[in-house]
Amino acid sequence: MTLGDPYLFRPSRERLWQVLAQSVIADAACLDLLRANIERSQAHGRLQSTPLLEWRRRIERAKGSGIELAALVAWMQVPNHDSKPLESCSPFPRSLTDEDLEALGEST
Amino acid sequence: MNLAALQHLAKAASALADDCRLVVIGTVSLPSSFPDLGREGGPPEQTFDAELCPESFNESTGLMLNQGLGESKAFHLLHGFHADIVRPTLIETLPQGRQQRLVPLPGVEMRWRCTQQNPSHPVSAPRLGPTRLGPLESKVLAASRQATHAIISSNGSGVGGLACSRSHFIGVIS
Repeated sequence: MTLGDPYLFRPSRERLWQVLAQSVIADAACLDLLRANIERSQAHGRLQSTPLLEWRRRIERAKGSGIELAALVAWMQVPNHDSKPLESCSPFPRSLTDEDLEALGEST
Repeated sequence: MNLAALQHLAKAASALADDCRLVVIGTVSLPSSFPDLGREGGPPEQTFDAELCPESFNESTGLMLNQGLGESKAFHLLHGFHADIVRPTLIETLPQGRQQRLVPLPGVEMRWRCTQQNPSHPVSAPRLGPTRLGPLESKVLAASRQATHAIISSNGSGVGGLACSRSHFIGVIS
């Protein structure tokens, strides 16, 4: 990131989602944290529920089978037009450490 | 994110950066003028972040806002949405006359003043053909043609701040 960038901090979406996918691979239990994030967001009532419900559906399926988990990770890793709206409604806050985020910022 | 989320984010940003104006840019500003668009199925449904620019800009304020309200920070964890802090270079890409197209951010203190948008500055038409537009898209298109711009002020002086829609925001629904 440089002073010429319009965004103060916005790592490459592609790279960010690859790292998030790696975090899921490293510890699938993080899916429980995602579900908790979704429930908290729903409880506040300030976010539209459709993307949250879609994320929850994908997470529940991933928790149910290794194949679905692999499918979720693959979907996260490969950038495509269809995934962008859902990625903009990410339930992954704090899934990465500040150090991870800093490294992502530096790599862009 | 809906209007309540934008209001909450704006108030938090205002509390943090109480010596500058704050500009919100993008699709999430639409409910400022058209609250219905903030409901399920509206364009802001597809994003849980708001582009926010402090005016006049300085890096320290930007960093502070990012630390407090940015992606993957505690605010994001707690509320599920966040701010993307942007430099004025992004605002400079907006159509001329943006300052005259400020709209109010409802539900926020009086010091958060925005003026109405100016329909004489239409944004570029979406690539969607008219026959493909549903009722919602038509409404959004109408909104985009009015080029929603709103500045949110956090300086307490009654000088406006703005929530702007960039000319290409229509791509969100295409």
